[in-house]
Amino acid sequence: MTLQVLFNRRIEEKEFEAAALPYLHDLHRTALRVLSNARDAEDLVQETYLQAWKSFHRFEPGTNCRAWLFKILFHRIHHHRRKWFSSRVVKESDDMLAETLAYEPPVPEHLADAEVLAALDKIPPDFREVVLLADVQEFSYKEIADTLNIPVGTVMSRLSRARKLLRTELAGLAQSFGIKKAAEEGRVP
Amino acid sequence: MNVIHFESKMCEKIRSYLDSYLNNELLIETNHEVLKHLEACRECSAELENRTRVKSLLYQAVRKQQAPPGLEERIRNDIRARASGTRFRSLSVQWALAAAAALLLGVGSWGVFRVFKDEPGSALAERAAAILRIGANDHIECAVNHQMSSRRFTFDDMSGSMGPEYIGLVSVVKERVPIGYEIVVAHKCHVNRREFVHLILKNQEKILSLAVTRKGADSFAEKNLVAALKASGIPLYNGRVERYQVAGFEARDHLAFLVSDLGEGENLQLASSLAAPVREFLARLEI
Repeated sequence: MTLQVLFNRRIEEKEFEAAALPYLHDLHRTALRVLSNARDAEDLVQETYLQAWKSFHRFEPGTNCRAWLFKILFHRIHHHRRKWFSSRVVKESDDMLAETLAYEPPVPEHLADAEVLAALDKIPPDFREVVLLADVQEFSYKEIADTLNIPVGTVMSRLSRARKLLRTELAGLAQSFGIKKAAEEGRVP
Repeated sequence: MNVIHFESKMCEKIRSYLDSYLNNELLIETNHEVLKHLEACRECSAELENRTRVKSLLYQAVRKQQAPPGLEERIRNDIRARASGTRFRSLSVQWALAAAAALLLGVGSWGVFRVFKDEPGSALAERAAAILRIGANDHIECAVNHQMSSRRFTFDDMSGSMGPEYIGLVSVVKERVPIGYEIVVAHKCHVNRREFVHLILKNQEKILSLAVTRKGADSFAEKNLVAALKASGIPLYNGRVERYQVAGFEARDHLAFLVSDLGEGENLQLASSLAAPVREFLARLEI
């Protein structure tokens, strides 16, 4: 009888691995960008899978495994953040920009990955999470709201903010280049 | 530079939709509205192009990152370790196969343990786990898999099954068990060709087994194990087997186990309140 129990366990393991492991890279790259620390990111992803395995009996087969895993991941990320960092409250109304631009300079067509990632790192973590889930993981607003435990309205406003910050940061690279060029050509304003 | 556009109010409105448009989150009508405006407005089209480009750059840049190769390996190991309840997966499969072989050959339980390789640092854990598993198996097979925990024995049922020798154990346990716990089953059962005197206690959703069995060749003391604590001078051995907490102690000829899915502390506490009276009962029996 004991052999039967062990055999069943083995099947369950295989089921879990088949369902959950395909999302390893997605989970890892998200954690890495949110935490900006390779070691922490790996640890948290490992914790996420262990947590998921422990709760596998509660997971409904056929339902959205990816969303379920991401929800666990962010739960662990926020817990990690609360434990190690004093929360810097970023007010939703906090205007990171000096002014609303009537005209936004275009983002250059060719940018190195490193430059894009550097710009992303400058964005506050709360906003970064949303843009990663929306633009890289392509979750819906509702899924993001559920994953992060925030209202859909907050998802939308954080997403807009994050994208704008990203645009500004990336365009700024081109702009500073443009100003330099103008100075060289004697066209300093 | 302040650009005053003829349609600026409309542009402002459309731009507020652009993010949702990019994510396909707009209602169909709103989507049409946006498309119509974009056809006629160069500035807003350029703006959309800009936003699309950033999205695409972000997508490409982040997705290039792959997880380090060791990570998947570590995760797979974690999964194995949890399922088997020990740190080494191969250990528990070996145990099961060896146990099956030993039973077939009629070899005493000592034969089973000799099959193990000596793993550095885990030898102690391995020995403890092996004995604790004896008790755990009874709980798993009888209370859980055979769902005995959902039965309800009358006192007559209990005395019929326990026999005159062991029936006294019921009142001993009843006296010492905390409020809320009820003895729902008391019987003799066989698991892996081993006879157990088995009490199942319930407290709402919590299920516990007190499993008592004759020693054979197993003994906590002989294996030089360190007790988790001593309750009234009785060493208690403690560990986790699969999902369950197991606390064990011994009398001269018997092993006793308290198995549950409670937390370690709670399980140990219950075991310590039962150890002395149960042992005393068994000592009187063994005379």
